[in-house]
Amino acid sequence: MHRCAENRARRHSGAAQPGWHVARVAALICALCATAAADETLRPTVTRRGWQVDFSGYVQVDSIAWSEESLDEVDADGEPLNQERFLIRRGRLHADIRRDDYVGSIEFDGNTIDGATARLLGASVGWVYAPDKAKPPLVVLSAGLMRIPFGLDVRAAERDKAFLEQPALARALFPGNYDAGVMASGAYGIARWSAAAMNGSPVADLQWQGKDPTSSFDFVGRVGFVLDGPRKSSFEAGVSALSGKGLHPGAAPTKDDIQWVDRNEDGFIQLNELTVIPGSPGEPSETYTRDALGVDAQVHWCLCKLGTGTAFFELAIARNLDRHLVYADPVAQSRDLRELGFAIGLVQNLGTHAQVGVRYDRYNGDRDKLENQGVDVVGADPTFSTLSLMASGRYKDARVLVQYDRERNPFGRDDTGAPATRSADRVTLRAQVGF
Amino acid sequence: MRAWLALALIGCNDGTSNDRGLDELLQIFDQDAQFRPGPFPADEGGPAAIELSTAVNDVVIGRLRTTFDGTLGASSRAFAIGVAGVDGTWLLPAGIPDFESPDSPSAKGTFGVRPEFPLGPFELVIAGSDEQGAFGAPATTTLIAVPEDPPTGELVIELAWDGDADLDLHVVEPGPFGGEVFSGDPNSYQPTPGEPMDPAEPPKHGILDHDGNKDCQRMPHPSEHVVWSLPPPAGEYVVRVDTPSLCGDGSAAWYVAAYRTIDGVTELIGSARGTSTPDHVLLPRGRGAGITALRFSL
Repeated sequence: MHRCAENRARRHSGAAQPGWHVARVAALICALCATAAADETLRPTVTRRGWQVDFSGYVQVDSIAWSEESLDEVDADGEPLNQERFLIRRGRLHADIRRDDYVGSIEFDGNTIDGATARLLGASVGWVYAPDKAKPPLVVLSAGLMRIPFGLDVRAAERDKAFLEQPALARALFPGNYDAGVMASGAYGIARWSAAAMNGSPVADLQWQGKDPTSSFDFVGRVGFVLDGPRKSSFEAGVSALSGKGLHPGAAPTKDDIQWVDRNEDGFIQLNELTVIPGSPGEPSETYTRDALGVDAQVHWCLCKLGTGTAFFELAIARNLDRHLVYADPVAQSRDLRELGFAIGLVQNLGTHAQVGVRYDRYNGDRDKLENQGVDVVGADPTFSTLSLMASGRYKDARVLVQYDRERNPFGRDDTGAPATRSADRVTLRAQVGF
Repeated sequence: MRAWLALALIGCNDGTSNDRGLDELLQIFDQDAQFRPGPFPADEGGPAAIELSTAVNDVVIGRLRTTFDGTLGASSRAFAIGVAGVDGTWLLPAGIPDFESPDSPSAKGTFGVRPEFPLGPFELVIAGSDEQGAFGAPATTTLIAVPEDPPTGELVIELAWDGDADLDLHVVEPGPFGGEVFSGDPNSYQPTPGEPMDPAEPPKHGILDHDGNKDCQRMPHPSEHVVWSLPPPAGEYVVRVDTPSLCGDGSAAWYVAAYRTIDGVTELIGSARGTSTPDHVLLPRGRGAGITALRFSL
């Protein structure tokens, strides 16, 4: 969008040339493309002891207007199954500090997804080497709690995402998006790169909840490029990789125990209803390796009288990396768990205040899953997929959005006994404001 | 708004039912069980179910503890289980074959019927389905739904309440081997320290039948009983009511009663009423816990 603004200035300076009417059309296109830049509002900025402090924040209020999986009921743990509700999806406060080449940031999140919660989401310190201030930094070294540099969606800020939530692929492999570690990143010409050594336990890891269970680090990184194309278009692509270790938790020693099954249902204990559960020695914890490879690509364009648009695609293939949807523990399963997922979508601005988009994502957390069905051991398909249709309107830093998600999951059973989708389609409305 | 959305999108719905089936008359204890609305599946030429049996013939209404054991046709991948003539069935994957019938998948599980289930005989039905989802001929077994009778014994001490609260009955038995019976120690027999346990001794003492509303898992009519099947020891008995949790309720009204049976004649020998409040939840747990509800001597 800034490029459009620069081009508009150049076109304007050449307006007296013979191709002036062409320039006028181009200027119209760029006027649409540059709207967002023009709408940029001033943020509260203060300076303290030579440090420039820049505050920002936003609030996302969701209303799940309709959900097929919503029930006025509780689950086995007593948790409500109702989904149709209002909730604060995100309330974020972010501060960036900078002094010369030194930078830092801190971000807090509050939400009511599982009751009112406030937490530290991100915090980092860093050093920036940018010999040419007009270009992206050549090198940025940072340490702290940061976004994991993998793929497309994990690296993107929730504030700016077109769709409500992450695709299943990102939710499963990098739950919460943030992990603690050190990272080096930068840009040179068209090349973009980042490499990090991280704990390997993202903040929403289902088992470890952000606590690192191993002394080893996960090494993760991405290399890519950005190419400017004709007619204000650009193309971005990258390859990401991860290698690290996970931990299978051990167990403390147990002694013999007795289990009573009231077989004749008389309510009294008979000797033949008692079963001894033998004690077992302690089981030490065990590490296992995990890795992932991903590719991603984005195309941006700017259409006359319509506005900018983006098409994107990302794919990841992984081993033992699922930390949320189908938790990967190859030691417990006695085999590796192989994951595969992708997301593809398109977002188009309609003028300056409207946007529509469609996204399809698909994720299989255990490509080799088998289960007993009678005398046969058959392959089971634990695939998650979602087709999302989105429309939104925005004015300055405010946005309202409606999204329909058509979800497929493996939580139900069909008449053949195989995993089948348990109805979970939903419509969500979101209002967002920020500063 | 919701109705409009539902009407607009209902044509897209082709998933399995999201209904947990918690209000169905037949209940299955299995996290994998998929509720299947509508009538029991008709015979579509799939594998015929071979047999179905249960551990007992009398199914106590309001309890979920009866085990079923079925044998399915060789090509069965799944099975449906339901009550004949009642809409709503449950789908489960077929189990691995039993040792006695190595070519026939098994159908095992635990079931119960809700408190609204009608008294009297009923037919439990299973039918297997093949990999195309075609169901075969069903197998049935006739059972009888019976009300739950209070346990019988020489001495029965009952705690009953209503609501979600998790209450615990504690009874201190007199005598040289007497101890405190409660959910943490369901037999009042206390062996002498340092001496081997006499295997004939535990049946002479009070035994707790179950832990009602344990961990806030709601029972239809929560109660607990301590039962002496043999003549109980003489002396003073102390009955206490502990309140581990009100499970979201503001209070829980309870009733304690002690029944003595001699020569087939049962007599109420003491009773008490009370109410557990949030203050009672704050008291210590375990042996010795609870407020005294009743004292009586035999």
